[in-house]
Parts: sequence; structure tokens; C-alpha cells
Amino acid sequence: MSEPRTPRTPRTPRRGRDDLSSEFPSSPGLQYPSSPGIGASSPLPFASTPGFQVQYQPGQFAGTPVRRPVHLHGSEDVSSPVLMPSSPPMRSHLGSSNLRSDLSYGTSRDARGGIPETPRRRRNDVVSSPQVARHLAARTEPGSELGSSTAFPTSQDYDPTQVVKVVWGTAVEINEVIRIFKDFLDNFKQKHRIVKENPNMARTNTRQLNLDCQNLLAYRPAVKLHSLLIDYPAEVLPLLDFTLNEYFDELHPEVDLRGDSLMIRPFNLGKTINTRELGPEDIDRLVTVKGLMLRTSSIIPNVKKAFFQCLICDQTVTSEADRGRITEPTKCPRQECGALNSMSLIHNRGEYADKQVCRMQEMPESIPDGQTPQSISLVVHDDLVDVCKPGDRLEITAVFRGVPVRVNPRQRTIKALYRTYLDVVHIKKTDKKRLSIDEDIANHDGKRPTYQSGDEIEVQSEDMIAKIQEISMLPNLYETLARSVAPSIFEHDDIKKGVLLQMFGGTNKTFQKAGSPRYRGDINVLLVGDPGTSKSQILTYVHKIAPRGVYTSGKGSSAVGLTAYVTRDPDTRQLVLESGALVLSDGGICCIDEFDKMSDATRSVLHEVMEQQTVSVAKAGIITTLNARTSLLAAANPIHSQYNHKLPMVDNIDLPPTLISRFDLLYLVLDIVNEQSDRRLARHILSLYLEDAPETGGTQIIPIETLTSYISYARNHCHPVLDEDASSTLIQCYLDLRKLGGGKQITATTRQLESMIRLAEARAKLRLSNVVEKADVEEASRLIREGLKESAMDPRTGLLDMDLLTTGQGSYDRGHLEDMRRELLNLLNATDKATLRWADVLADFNAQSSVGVSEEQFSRVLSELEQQQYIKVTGKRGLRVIKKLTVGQDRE
Amino acid sequence: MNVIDQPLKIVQELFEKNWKKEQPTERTEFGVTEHFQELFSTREELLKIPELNSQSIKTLPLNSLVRFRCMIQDTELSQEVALFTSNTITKPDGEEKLICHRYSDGPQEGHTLETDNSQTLMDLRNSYYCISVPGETQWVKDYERSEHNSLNASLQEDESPSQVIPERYPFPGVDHFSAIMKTHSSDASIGVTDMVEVIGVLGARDKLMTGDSFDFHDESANSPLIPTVHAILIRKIDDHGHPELSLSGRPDESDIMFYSEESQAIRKDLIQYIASALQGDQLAAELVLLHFLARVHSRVNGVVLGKFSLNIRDSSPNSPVFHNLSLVMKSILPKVHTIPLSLKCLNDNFFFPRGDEHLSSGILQVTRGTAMLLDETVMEEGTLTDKGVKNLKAVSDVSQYQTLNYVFPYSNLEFQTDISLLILSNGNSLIPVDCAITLKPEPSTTEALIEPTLEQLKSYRKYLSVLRLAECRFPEEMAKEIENEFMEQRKAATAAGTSLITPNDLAFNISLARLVASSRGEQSMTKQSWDHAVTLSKHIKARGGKQ
Repeated sequence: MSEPRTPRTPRTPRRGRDDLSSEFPSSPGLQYPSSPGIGASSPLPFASTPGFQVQYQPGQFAGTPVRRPVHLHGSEDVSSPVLMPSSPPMRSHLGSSNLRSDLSYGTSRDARGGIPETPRRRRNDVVSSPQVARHLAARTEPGSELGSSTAFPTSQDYDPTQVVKVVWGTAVEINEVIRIFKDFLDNFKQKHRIVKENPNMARTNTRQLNLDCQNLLAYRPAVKLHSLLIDYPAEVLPLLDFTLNEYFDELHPEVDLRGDSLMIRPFNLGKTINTRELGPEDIDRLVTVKGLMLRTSSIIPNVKKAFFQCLICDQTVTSEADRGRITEPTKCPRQECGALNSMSLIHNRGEYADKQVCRMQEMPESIPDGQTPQSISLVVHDDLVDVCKPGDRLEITAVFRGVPVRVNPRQRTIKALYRTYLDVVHIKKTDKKRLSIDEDIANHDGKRPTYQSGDEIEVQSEDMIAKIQEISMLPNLYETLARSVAPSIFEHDDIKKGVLLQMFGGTNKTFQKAGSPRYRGDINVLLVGDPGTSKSQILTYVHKIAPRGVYTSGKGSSAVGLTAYVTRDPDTRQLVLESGALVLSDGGICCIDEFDKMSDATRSVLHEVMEQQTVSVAKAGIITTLNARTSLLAAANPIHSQYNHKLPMVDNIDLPPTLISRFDLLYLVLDIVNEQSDRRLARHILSLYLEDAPETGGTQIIPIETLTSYISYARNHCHPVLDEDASSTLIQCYLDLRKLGGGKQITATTRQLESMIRLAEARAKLRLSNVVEKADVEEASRLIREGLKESAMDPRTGLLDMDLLTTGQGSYDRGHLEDMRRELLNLLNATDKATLRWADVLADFNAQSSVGVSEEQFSRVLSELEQQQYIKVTGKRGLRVIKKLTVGQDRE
Repeated sequence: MNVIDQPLKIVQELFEKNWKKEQPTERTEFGVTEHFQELFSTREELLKIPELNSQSIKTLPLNSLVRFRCMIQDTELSQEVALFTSNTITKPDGEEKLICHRYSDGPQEGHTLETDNSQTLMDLRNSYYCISVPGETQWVKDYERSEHNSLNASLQEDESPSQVIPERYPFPGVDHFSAIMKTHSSDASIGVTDMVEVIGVLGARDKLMTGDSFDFHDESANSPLIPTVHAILIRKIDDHGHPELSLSGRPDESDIMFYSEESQAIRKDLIQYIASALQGDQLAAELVLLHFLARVHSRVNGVVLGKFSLNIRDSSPNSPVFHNLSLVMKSILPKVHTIPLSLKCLNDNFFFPRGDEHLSSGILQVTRGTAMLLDETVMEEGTLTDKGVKNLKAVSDVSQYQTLNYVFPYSNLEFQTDISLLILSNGNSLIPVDCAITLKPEPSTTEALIEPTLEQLKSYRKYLSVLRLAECRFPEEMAKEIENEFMEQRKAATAAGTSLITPNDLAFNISLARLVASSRGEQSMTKQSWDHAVTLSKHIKARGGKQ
């Protein structure tokens, strides 16, 4: 860029960037002559492009004509919106005026017509105070009012004699920066493509180019730019903007930017800093910080420039805001007029920029132990305003700033204290789950994420990823991970494996051809067992480790607690929808303890959740369906506190079979007396107390934090698919499973097949593999078989019977119902009494029966008899009475 | 006493002596911490420094050295960047020199900052909000004052409360004192609810800066002025809170030996003393004693070991138990708080800390080792609001897991606690506890509370504090024995068809045995202690068992 170029098409004023003040305190700025009077009649200010010279020393033309769009109210070219050749007088004026230009070329700034004595005002949208740090060194220019008595240390050796092409006080060599960046744009393939081929930039209103700073590092000639950018963002960024604009103009000469200028939004500086680590040395440098948006202010129209008009002679004058304040001219600047107190503010001629002040808290997971979260203020401008909402997880790239604190807001005295904040230049959002965009779903919607590459935050650090990879190489990975789940719980290895796979989850998929909307990948697990067998412990552990885990107890939670409810926001008095456990755990695991104690209403909600994966809310006039793509981990106690081994599972738990069948895995956690395991159990408990020899149920345990990261990494990165081998194994396993019943009973349904697929996928994820292999399917089949053995086994026949689970009635039952009916009738006839107590009859009946008869079966038989009008059952629950009807006896 | 009156002079001297101009950009130390550590190496020396409290703040001069014993309430007040050094012109003689502003609010009066800023360096300062230790009992406060700080005694009559932010103190409506501690070092080991002793320079009272005041125009005029302490030395105090014991670490070996030997006698007396508050119930008194000795000693993979929350069921009307028990606790424990757990109390207060811009405290935000006596007998029927439910959940969490959730917008942070919960209730408590027992008044005993002598009280206090911290090992033989016993019992139960002894029972017995051993001053568990624990466990079961 060393050869001078003639300025090309003039443009209407471009919006400058507000997130940066590229201004140097020492710069008195440019002053354009203007013809008073004409500008007032021009409704739309438009630009003329005088060849703008970046110039640093008198007589030293940098030779870089920079288009500098300026409001020239006084321009004579009112009628000519098009080409206007550079005006030589202007240039010579510039050349001779010895003014150091400021580089905020894009700042639409009024020519200060006729008032050359007005000192150039600082832009205040960002730097609302004297700019601190190294610029202070340059505070020698007359007219500068940088009289702050306190300042930051100069972190940069400053050599006042340094010559040309260097931004004051810094080591930024302008031409070089421009050249490097242009070269980068030209030659870096990926970026090149983006600018050139991204029709968005030309067609839509996108005026931003996200610059992945890693790309700068990757492109050797631009490496220097990277460090320059980080150290001197206020100087370098405008240069980059400028280069980009030039470049864009060349590529798309046909596009009229209509006053906007393109902006570079750099991100991915390579190192993310925690807010805690920001120190004085980072002030005015570009940093990347992660955090959680706490709240945002409303949009503040920030006056950049106020427009005044003389009431007497209509002379206009603009005044730029300085530190949030506008100096109102007290006197008409036109010498002929000179009226006092005649200037009135014309609101709609002023210029405003969007501004928003936000609070960002550091990421919850990066808070050190025992510390409370720290938060920092953000100032966002223009396009970035309202990009993020409270609750969003962000990675922002920003300039770290410090402003002195005033003793009293009305006084100029400042303390020896600085408050810090961040001027945001780029926002990267994360946490898709919060936004309810499952990666799979998002892609199937056919719409691509609006953000460009790299806009998703890599949550894990590189160290962690390396560690994760290392773990995935372990020879007995599966066992080790399973052992690491709730290590304080003794044995129950299969349950741990099931729960582990649940945490990984299957793959969500949609079959568009088949027309089914979505195929759930979530695995639901139900634990049933004796009290005191650490079911709750497993639940609490999973709750702790699982992504977006929610823990709730069936006893305490109403339907409201589990779903969503409507409340009035205390501040705004507006109705807001508050989501309950299930919606909150969207994309995670919802742990429900005491599942059997849950009210029927709540359970009916679960039907919807487990099948449709949504929750419907209709309350207070709000009807909505919320996503609840959650896995369910539930624990239930047997009906009679102790598990009755004589009865099948369904008769042992007070849950409708329809609900039970929706669980992929069912486990019985039983307290069995066994000398060997008892001893080991006692040893296990004791070992917790023997501090010198902590035994953790195995040799190698992966710490809970690592396991958490491992799981979330796998969940985000692996989307396994079945390979050929696995598919055929799957079919074989399914057939085997169906054969288990011996042809008569149904042992497996398609539900089991689906479960098997999900489990196999989860196991592939566990290996961080994208392919489901044969071994995965075999393990999935084994887990299901083990689960079925416990839950669907009919203890009376020793056979697996899926009907037990799906209808609550096995084929054995059906065969025996008739026998039972006969027996019962005999029993009833054997007595003389006309009425019998329900409980007594059951006890008697059970006494003569060789196999256990559950209450449920009993009442089923009774109701059958009742229908046939043999008997009549009256009374409630415990007081039920069976009355023999004579009709029935007659018929018999 | 030059140090105490003008610590900044010493700082400046050290600065001039040790500061290296060669690396001005590095935030190096210049030996202040070391110097002061040397000056105040002994407890006696340390106690010469005037204590900062609500009384002394009125007389202590600015920029003098103070000592402040406090709890860290919030570690993250907004970060500040402040002057470290600058060229300054001192007023009277117009001399220009490099002044160190660390440990002070900024340039002293009569100093003007020189405009040449090449020497100006900045510091990053962390601020902590500190409050006087919540629930500290009178005898601890008296100890701190009477023995070493006679100077404060004369100032007691001035009763105007000091300016504080009430929401930042755990207990609503309780007088306390607070200060902002500023330190340039970022010591990550200092966390919320830590008890610390700060030696530092007293700074000006100032309004607390909040993030909301970002625009610097909306600082409310009547926000309280909180004094600042620029910390030079920060010492963490171990959580026992007993002023006579060493500040940190384990209790002295000699103390442990002494109380091991004396344990039998003291234990007996102490149980009598507690029993007199419990209408003569010896078993309950012993459990209360064990409860006082309990502390969380390890957390293994999410299992909390050592906690022993206790519920005493007392159905007699107008029972004096709550009153008496609180008197006993306040006389022998260093940090006690009593809460009448009524519906109103649950609905109106916050039990858990919650933060938005600043961290408001909750009743449960107390230092580790604080004893809490909850009176559930005053609970009535009625609606528990949303807040009440959350409060109850917070108490339950402390009882079950010894963790407390701090509620922040969009995230909850779990902090570990060690609060001993003793709950008095009519029936079963709403809060799940480790052990529950129904009170059985001894008809023969008199109503009156025993009044121990001061000597006795002193030995009780020390006995509890020392043995609570003492380690108790589990010898291998004992482990074998317990293992076998467990197996035998389960076998026997299966044979007899009675209910099985569950793993949970075993765990309960073990923790009980541990406490029994502690109360006897044993450093290694003996068979007697184990047997005693098993007997206790049986008695407890007979009396309504545990949950």
C-alpha cells in the first residue's frame, strides 16, 4: 500500500465502530472547511471523500489515501451523491495543516464548520474518560485536555523521536499492518473464500467479518499481526477495518454499503483468560474471556453528537459528547450573529449509537473452591447490542479498560482507584442446550447455524481434551469408567454400567423418509429395590455428574414441580413461564427418587415426556409445548417395602405397566444375605473410615470432574452409527432375545430393539468412537438381557415374558386366572358366611396356593367374578367386604 | 509502638530499601509481609495490636495498624485497579519522591501526585467483605477483650451501631461489625466462610462499590460507609474457634494427652451438666455430647463422614429444654446460634446465601464448626411459601450432605459446610437427621440447671474443642472384629426371620463408635468403645431410632 491511490467512489457516511476508540488523545483531529448555510438545507448528510491522508510527520506523506466518509453538511456537492474526485485544495489543506490524523476513519464525524478553535472532542461511547495507559506518554500535544493526574504505568517504552508510520506511543507500523492484513485476506485461503464468496456480506446487511485469530497465526506472514492486534487493538483494529473496506470495495464495487462500514470482529485469540486473571497489565489489550451473562441493561441511545441550531440565524453547530456530557454552546458561533444563549438542540439531527451495559459472571465451573463468582461489566455497542441474553454462556473478545472512580459523581476529582470493564468486539455464544438446539435437531431443520465457523465454544481446555483422549486409550476403559461411577457404592457393577451408558446417551436421529419426527436417543433407567440399598446414592451421584442433571423426589414434587408453571415476575408483574425439573433437564438427566410415590397426575406427564419428549403446559392462558428431551433415572421401592421374590417385578412395584415398559433398563437392587458379599460389604464401609487404607472398590478410579468432562466431550463430539457387522449382530441378538421365551411368550418387542441400539450407540460414544461395533451391540444385548432377567422373568415359570412388562399380565397369569377363579369360588362356597372380609379371603387364598398371589391378581379375579355376578365387593381399600350373591351360587 | 501508629512509614521505608526500579513492570514484593511477620511472630506481640470492632472503630486513627478477627462473607467484591507507586510531591518541603501507595487508600493528605507518570505503577486489588464471626459466644468475645485489650472496656457505653450492610450478615437483626479487606495478593486459599485474622492498615470508610454503579452516577447517597482494612498479614484461623488453642492446625499434643487422661471425669460431669438441661435424660445427654464432638472429617467420593445431626423429640408442653440447652451450648461452645424454626421464620428469612450483584447472606452462611440449635416445637400449621420450601431444603442439605447451595442467577454453587445441627421437635423432625431420639425425662431430677464453676466451664470448653479436633484411628483388629460381627448378625437375622441389619446400620454404628472413642480421648478405637457404641445404638433404636 505504498503507492498513493486515488480515492474512488464516495460513499455516504459510514458508521464507525463504537467499540473502539481509535482516537489518540493527542490528536486534535481533522478539520474540514465548510461553507456555512448550505449544510442546513441538506436533509441527508452524505459523504464526500476528500483524499484523506494518514500522515504522521510534517512533510511525510504516508501515501495512503484513506477514504474518510464525513458528514459534510457544508459541502457544495449537495446534488451529487456520486463520484466526487478528490479535492486538491482539501488535500493540500491537510497536507499543510500538520495535523496528525486519527485513524478512526470510519467515524462519521461532522466537519466542524467554521469553528476551528473548538478542540476536537473525544468520542465517548466507549472511552468516557481520559484514556489511560500508554497514550499518556503522548500527552504533549497542545489542545489536549488529558490532564488526568493519575495514570497507568506505561507498559511500553516510548520514544518520542520515533519517526513515521507508527502510531504514537506504540509500535504499530501502519503501512505494515495494512499490507500484512491485505496479504492475509488475499492469500489465506479460508478467509479469502469467506470474504469473496460470502454473498451475505454483499447481499445481506451483515457488515461484520469474524476473524479467527488462529488463522492469523496459521498464516506465517501474518503472525506479527496477531501480537500487534492483541497489544494495540485500539490502533490496529481500525486499520484492519480500513483494509477490509478497501478490499471489499474491490471485490464488490457494485455494493453500496449505505453508510455502514465493514468491521472486523476478531475472536479466538488462542488463550481464554478467566476474569480473575485480568490485571493492570491487560488494560487496553485485547482479551478473550468466558462467562455467563447475568443481566443486560436496556438499550441506551448514546448521544455521539448533538446538533444545535441558532434560533436567530439558523447557524448550526454540532457538539460531540465528552464523557457522557454535551457541552452546550452558549453563543452562536457565527461571528456576524454572535447571539448569546440562542442555540437550541435539534433532537433528530443528533447522532446516536446503541449501547448496552451488561454484567457477566465468570463461568460457574471455573470458580475456585470456596470463592464466590466474580462478575465484570461489559459495554456492547451497535450490532452486538442484544445479541446475548441473560443466562447465555459467552466467550467474548474485548478490550480491557480501566476508568478512574470519581469521589463524587458531580465532581471531577477522581480517586486513585480504577474500575475495570470490557469493551466488547466479538461475542461467541455457547451452550446450545440452553437454547434448546440439539446439534442433531438443528441440522435436520435444514438451517445452518447463523454463526460462522468457530462460533461454538470449545468448553474443554486442551489439557482436558488430551486427558480425555488418554483415558479413552485405557485397555479396560468400560470397566474403569463404570467403576468410577459412584465409587462409594459397593458392587452393583451392571447398574453402574447401565447408568454410565445412560449418561452418554444414544444418538438422536430423524428418519425423514419414514416420516417419524424424531427418534429418541435418551436412555431411561429404573431402579427398583429394597430400602437401604443405596439407590438414592446412585441418583445423587448421577445428578452431580450428568449434564444438566436435575434431582427431584417423587414424593414432594407435584405435577407443577416436574413440568412448568406460570408465575408472575416480581419485578415486571408479567407472566413468566418457569420450567420444572423435566424442562430444566432438557438435554440432560432427570433423577426422580421415590418414583412410586408420585401422584398420578405427575406420572401422566411422564408418559408424554418419555414418548414425545415434550411437556405441554396450559395455564393462565398460556398454552405451550416445551421440549423435555431428558433421560429419566428413577428409583422406586417395592410395594411391601421388602421385595417379594415370589412375585414378578410388576407386582412388586406400584407403577402402571405402560410406564414401566418405557424404561430401557430395569434393575433390581436387592439386599441379599450372602456371607462372601456381606464380608466385602462390611469391609467396604469400614474402608471409608480407615483413612490410611481407603479402598475404592477397585484399583483405578477416574475423578468425578474428569468423568464429567469426559462424558460431555463424548456427548458433543461423537455421533456413532452402526456398521455392517454391528447391524447383523444386532439382528441376531434380537432374534435370540425373542427366542428366549420359547415361542409361547413374547420376550422382546421392538422397544427392546430400540433400547439395544441406543445402548450400543452409547457404548460407542464411551469409546469416543463414531462407529458402533459388534462388541458394543453384544454388551448392549447383555445389559438388556440381564435387566430383563430380573424384571421380566416370571418367577413362577422361570421364563422371560415381555407381556408382564407391557400389560402387567403374563401368559402364565392368563392361563392361571381361570384356575384361580375356580379355586376362589370353591373357597367362597366352602364357608357359610354371606359376607367375608376381603383381606381374610386373600390370606386364606394365599395359604392354600402354592404360588404367591398378588393383591392385583386377586382383585382381578374378584372383579371378573363380580362381573359374572357371583359376588359383590363393597367398601373401600382395607375395609372391603365380599358379599356372596345367591344368583351366582344358583348358577354354579 | 511506632509500627502500630504509623505502619505506612514502615512500608515506605521498606519500599525505599528493597524496591527494585529495574523491573518496574513486575508486581514484585518488597518484604512487607516478611517484616511484619517477624515483628508479630508471637501471640503476645500480636495481641498488642488494637482489635478492630464496632467500638474501637470510633477511636482508632486512620492509617494505624489494626487486628480484625472476622469471617469472609464474600470474596468477590468488584475488582479494583489502584495506585501502587507514583512520584509524589510532599507538601511542606515540596520534595519529590517515589511513594508507595500499597496498603493505603491513595495519596496522603498534603501529597500531590506529580504529573510525570513514568513512575506510576498500578496494583490489582481484591476486596473481601468481612463480618464479625457470626454466633461467637460471649465467653469467646470476653476472652479476646478482657485479657489483652483493656483499652476497649471503657468505650462500651457508646451504643450507636456501626454502619453495616444488614443483608450481608447471616443473622437478621443481630448487631455486628463489618469491614472491607483489601489485599493486592490473590490468595485463592481464602474462601467464603473462612475465619481469618487480618493485620492491616485501617483505611477510610467508604461506600461499597457495586457493579451497578458502573456509570458512577447512581451510587445511592445513603448506602452505608464501611471501613477498609488494607491487609498486610492474613491468617486463617482453624474452625474450632476456641481462643486459647493454637490459631491453626491440630491441637497441641500435650493438650490431647491431658484431656485423654482427664476425659473420664470431665465426660461424666459434662453429661450430668447437659442432662440437667434435658430433664435428667442421661442417654440424650450423652448423644448431645457426642454431637458436640462431631465434625466432618472426610468426604470420600461424595460421602460425608463424621457429621452427626441430632434430633431430640420432646412432646411435653412448655418444655424448658430449648432454653436450657441453648444456655448450656452458649456456655461451653465457641460459636452457637439458635433459631426458632417457626413457619414465619422459614417464610420470612433466607437460610441460604444468594447473589445477584452482591452476595446477600443467609442464616446458614456461618463458619465451619458453628453449632445450631433449631427449635421445631414452635412450628405451626400453615402454608410454606416458595422461599420457605427452599429454606427447608437448605437446612436438609446441610443435615444430610453438609453442603450449602449459594444461589446465583443461572447457576448454583455448592459450598461445603460443617454445621452441627441439633433439632428439637415435638414429633419427627421435618429435617432428615443422622440420629433421632425421644426425650425421656427422669422423674427424680430437679428442674434446675446445674451451674458449673468457671473452672469447670473452662475445662469443658477446652475438652470439647481439643477432642473434637483430635484424630481417632481405626485399628485393623477392630475392623476385622466389626466385619465378623456384621456377618454373624445378618446370618442370625436371616435364620430368625427378623429384619436384617443393613449396611446403613453398620455405617451408623461405626460413626457412633468413632465419636464415643473421641469422647473418651482415645486416639485409637478400643473394643470397649465399639461395644458401648453398639449398646448406645440399640438404646437409640428402642427410643425411636434413627431415620
